Amino acid sequence: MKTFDYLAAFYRQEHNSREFVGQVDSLLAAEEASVRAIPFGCEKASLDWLDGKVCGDKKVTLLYCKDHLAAFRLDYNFTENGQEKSETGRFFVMQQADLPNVFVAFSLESAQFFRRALQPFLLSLYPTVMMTFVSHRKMKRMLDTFKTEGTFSDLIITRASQRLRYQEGNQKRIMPMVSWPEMTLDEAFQWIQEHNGWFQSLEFEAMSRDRKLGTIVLTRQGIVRADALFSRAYQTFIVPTCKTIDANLKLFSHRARLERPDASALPLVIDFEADQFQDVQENRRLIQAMRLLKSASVSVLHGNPYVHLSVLDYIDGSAFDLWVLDHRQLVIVPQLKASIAAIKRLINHIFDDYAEGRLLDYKHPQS
Amino acid sequence: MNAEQELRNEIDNYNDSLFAIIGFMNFYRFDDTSRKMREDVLLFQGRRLTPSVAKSTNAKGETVEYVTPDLGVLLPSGKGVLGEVKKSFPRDSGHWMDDFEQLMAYDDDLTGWPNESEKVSSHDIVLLLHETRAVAIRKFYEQKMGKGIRFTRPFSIVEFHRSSEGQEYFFFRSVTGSVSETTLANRLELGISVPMTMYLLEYSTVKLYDAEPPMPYLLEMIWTHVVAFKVTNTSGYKMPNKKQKLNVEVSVAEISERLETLFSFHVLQHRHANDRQPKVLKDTWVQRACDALVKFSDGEWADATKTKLIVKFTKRDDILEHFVKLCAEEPRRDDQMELFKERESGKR
Repeated sequence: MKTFDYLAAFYRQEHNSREFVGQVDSLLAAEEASVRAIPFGCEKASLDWLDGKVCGDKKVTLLYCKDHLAAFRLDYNFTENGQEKSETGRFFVMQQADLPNVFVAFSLESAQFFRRALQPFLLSLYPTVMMTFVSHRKMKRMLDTFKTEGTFSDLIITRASQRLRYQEGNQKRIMPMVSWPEMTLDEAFQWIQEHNGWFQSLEFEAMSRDRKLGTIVLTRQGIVRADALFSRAYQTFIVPTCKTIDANLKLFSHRARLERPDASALPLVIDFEADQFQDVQENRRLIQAMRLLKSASVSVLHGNPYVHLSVLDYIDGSAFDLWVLDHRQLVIVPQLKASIAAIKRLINHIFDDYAEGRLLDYKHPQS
Repeated sequence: MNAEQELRNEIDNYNDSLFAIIGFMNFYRFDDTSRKMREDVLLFQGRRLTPSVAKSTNAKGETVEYVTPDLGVLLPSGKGVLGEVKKSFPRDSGHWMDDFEQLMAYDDDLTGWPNESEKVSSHDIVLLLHETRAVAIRKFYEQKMGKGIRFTRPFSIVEFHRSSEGQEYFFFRSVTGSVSETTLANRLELGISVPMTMYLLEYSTVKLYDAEPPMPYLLEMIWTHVVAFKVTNTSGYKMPNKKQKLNVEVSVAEISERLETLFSFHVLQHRHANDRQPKVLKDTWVQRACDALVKFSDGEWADATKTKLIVKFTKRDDILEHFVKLCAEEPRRDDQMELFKERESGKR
C-alpha cells in the first residue's frame, strides 16, 4: 500500500533551475516513476509567452516561474471509447543557462499525458518551438560517454525503433521497424550501419555487472526518458543536445538573402566525407529522397550529371537552391526567405531520408 | 524529343549560357595572385552602347540607336571586352551572317561604357560558343573573313562546354583569334577549366540574363520567389490543404521589380548602372508569364489594364514540372509558344 505520494509533494514544492535535476533524481529513487526531458529551441528567449497559450483543445497555465524554471499546468481533452474526457497534468520548462533560446521541458506524468498532451502541444508550437535531431554518430558517441563516465559494465538494448533507408528500384524509402534485439551498443550500431539506417529511439538498461541500475530511452529528437540515473543522463544526453540546438540556431539564423544588406547568398554545406556522389545513380537517389519532403515543392532544374534543385517550403515560404557539384558535398543555398525552422526541417529530412553528413558553413573555393 | 524534353533542354541551354557568361567574365575579375575578385573590374550585360556616326546605319539602311552586347567588361586600364554567347546557333548557315553582323556592330568606337568618359581606348570582341558548333562557325568565319566579315579590333571565338571529372566544371578554349590580355590569351589557348563550385553563389543569385528565359523556368521563379513569398508573409497565413487555393494579388510591376533586383544580372552590375543599363528582365516577358498563369487557370487578371493579377496559390509537389507540362501542351510556333506570339524582337 502506498503510504506517501512523493509526486504530489514534489509538485507542491517550488523548484528552481539549479536544484531541479537533482531533485528529480531523488524523486525517482523514492517513487516508481520516470521522467521525460525534451530539449527544444525557441525563437523567443523567454517563458512567459507560454502562459495562457491555447492550441486546439490544449491550454497551458503558468503556475510559477523561479530562476529560469517554470511550472505549468496543461489541460487537455481527448476521446476514449467514444467518450469525451478532460485531463490535466503538469510539466516544467527550464531555460538553459547561457543559452537563452534553448529550453528543456520535463514531465513526470504518465506516458498518456506525454503522448496525448505534452508532445502534441510542443509540436503544435512549430515553428516558434523546434525540436532537434541527434545524428546517428552523435547518438553513439553520447552512449559511449554515458557508459564510460558512469562506469557501467554494459548498456543492453532492450528495445529499438529504427528506420532503414532502403531502396526499391530507383526509389529510396524509409522502412520503420521496431525490435528488441538485446544487443550490446556496439553490435546494435554496427547492425544499423550495415542496414543503412538510424535509430528513432533506443531503450537500454545500464548494467553494473548483473545488476540493472536503470532503464533509459534516448530518441533521435534528443528526448530522454529515465526511471533512474537521471542526473547522469541529463549531463550526458541533454546538456550536449542543448549545446547542439544552440549551435544549430546560430548556424541556421540570418541565412535568408533578404536578411543580408547586399542580398547575397550564405550557403550551408552537408559534407558526406566520402565519394557519396561518385556513382551518378546517387543523384537520382537524392532526388527521390528529396521528393519525400512533406509540405514542400521540389523542382528539378538539373538532375544529371550535376544536381540543382529548387525547394519551396509551404509551411512558411522559405526557399532553397540545392546543388551537388562534386562527389562529396551537398550545398544548400537559402533564398530570399529561410527560417531557422525550415532549414532545420530540410536538413533533418536529408539526414533521415537520404544520408547523414557533417554540417558546415559554406566556404568559397577561392578562400 | 517530346515537347516536355524540349522545354527541359531550353532550360538547360539557358542556364549553360548564363553560367558561361558568368565564368568568362570573371576571368577578368578574378585576381590569381590575391585569389579574390577585383572590385575595379566592372561587368555589365545588355548595356546600351551608342554606335559612332559611321555605324549608326546598318546594312539595311536602318538607324541603329544602340547595341546591347551579352557581355561587357571594363578594365581599370581603360580597355574593355564585348561579346555574345550562343549555346545554340541556327541550323541554317544562311542565318549565321546575321550573328556576325551583330558582332561587327560591336567593332566600333562605342559610347556608353560604365566610366566617366563613356569610352575605352580599345576593346576586344569575343564570340562564346558551345563546342558543338565551334568548329563549323570557325570555318564559316575563316571562309568569310575579308569577304563580308571584317574586324578591325581583336576578335576571338571561344568555345565552352560543361563537363564532369570528379566535379562539374566549365571548360573554355579559344578556337580562333586571341584576346588582348596576354596571360588570359595563353591560358585560353590551352583551355581553362572553371569548377562550377567557383561561381555557385552567382549561379544561385543571378538566374536571369538578357535573353528571354524559357517560360516554365520563369513561371517557377515567379511562383516560388514572388507569389509564395508574398502569400506566406500575409498575416495569419496557414499552409493550404491539398486542393485549397489561396488568392494573392500581385502586380506585374512587383514581379518585375523583385526578379530584376534579386535574381537578374542586375545583382552584378547595379553599382554602375545608369540610364544606359536597361532592365535585364523585360516587362513583356513578365507580362507574357502572367498571361500564361491566367491561361493555365493559376490566376486571373484583377483589372482590365492587366497590371494586377490574382494568383490562385496552391501546393504543388514540383512547381517546375507543373509548368513544363502545361507549357508543353501549348501549340508552338517557331521557338516560342503560340501563347506568347506577341514576342518582341529580342535576342535568344
